[in-house]
Amino acid sequence: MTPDAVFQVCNPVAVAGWIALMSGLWNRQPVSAAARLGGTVVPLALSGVYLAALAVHLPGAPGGFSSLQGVADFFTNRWLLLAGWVHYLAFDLVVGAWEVRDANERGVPRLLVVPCLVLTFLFGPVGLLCYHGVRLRRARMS
Amino acid sequence: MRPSRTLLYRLWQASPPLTAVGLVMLAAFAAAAVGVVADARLVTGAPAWLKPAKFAISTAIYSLSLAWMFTCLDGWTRTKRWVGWTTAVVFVAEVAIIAVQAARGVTSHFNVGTVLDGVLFTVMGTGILLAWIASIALMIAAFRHRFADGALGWAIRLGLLITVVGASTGGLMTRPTSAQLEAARIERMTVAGAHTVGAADGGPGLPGTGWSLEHGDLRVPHFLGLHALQFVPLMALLLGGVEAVRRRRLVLVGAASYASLFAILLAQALRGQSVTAPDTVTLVLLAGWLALTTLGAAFTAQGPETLSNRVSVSL
Repeated sequence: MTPDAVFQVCNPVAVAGWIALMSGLWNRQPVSAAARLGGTVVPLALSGVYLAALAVHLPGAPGGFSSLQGVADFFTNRWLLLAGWVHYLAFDLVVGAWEVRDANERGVPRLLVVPCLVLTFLFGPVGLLCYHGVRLRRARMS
Repeated sequence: MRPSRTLLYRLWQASPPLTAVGLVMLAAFAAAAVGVVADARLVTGAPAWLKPAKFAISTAIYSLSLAWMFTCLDGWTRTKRWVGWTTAVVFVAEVAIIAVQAARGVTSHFNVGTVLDGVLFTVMGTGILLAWIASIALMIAAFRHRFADGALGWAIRLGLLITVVGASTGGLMTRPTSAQLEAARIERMTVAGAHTVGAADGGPGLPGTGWSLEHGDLRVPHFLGLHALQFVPLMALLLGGVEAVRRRRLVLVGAASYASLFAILLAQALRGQSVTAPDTVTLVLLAGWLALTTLGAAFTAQGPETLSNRVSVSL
């Protein structure tokens, strides 16, 4: 098993999670089964991959977290690079799941949430900023 | 009377030439579609009758859209008559020439291979310039007209404005490319202009549209720009249930968003990049476009009293 092979598996799993999560917008329960799959099950599975990669490859890893150069050195290990990527995939989904849940509770129009989810998927924090912008306006309206 | 017949009747009342050309082009599209299936010849890598089919359906939609816009513009009788006839006559000539060249198995646009090809290409170029000027005339009329439905009025004005700008990207295609000019030093020029940026026309393309998979293709922004005329008013119609002031603001946001997407795709094509292979610059622009459109729509979704209060406070 190579880190590249694991990467090739994790990416489509995350995309499937995003599709399931997005479908949760069309089921106005706070947490639908599909949203639970995308927002909980998939992130937990990805977290498992992260944990395994770290458990095996963190001991003796180069670099550290106290300087940017240390972080760069740390990621020269491809297993740890994979772990970093899987970290993104898992946590972006969790943020997306919160957006869906919050939007369903507040009745934010789906058409405004979908672009935020797309942005959270592609550029994590940008999507979070965008959703908070949308949420701000909705909060003032009610 | 069935609704479709009533609409057709209203379109005919608004502009007989445009409605007639719209219907004729729908028939021409059906005929060309048969040609795509029945005639196996290829022109620049695509079925010979694909281009007549695309231009027939495009001109049909454009003509009927203009006729529909006429129904929203009370008065302006002379402007509408001139715009209607000019557009109709030009479109018949345009599609006829494209069909003749397809039947001959040669390209229509950019073809200066023989005297006949060159003359036909020049007639097409002059004709389409006239149709473009007609669309500008209609746009000016729309900007001066007082619409009963304010939001729809703005959608028609801005849709026409984006279409006029989008159509002008056709002019970017008819300039001879530097490679063509270079080749013309050695032998006579046979092709003047291209829709592909970064290579000669005729490489692999998306199924149906033929948009290049490997290089920039000016037909992408051209297509998007031209169809603002349908998209922006359609958006206004779909927002029919929204409160009037908010609806007008949403139309403005939608039109600005559409124009921005057009600009992003135009820049992408001009940089020689295929629409199917966006680089990081294009992705960042698209992400910004998506975020601003979403926030714009979210922040417009507000009742008129609240906003006028806020404006007066901030002033």
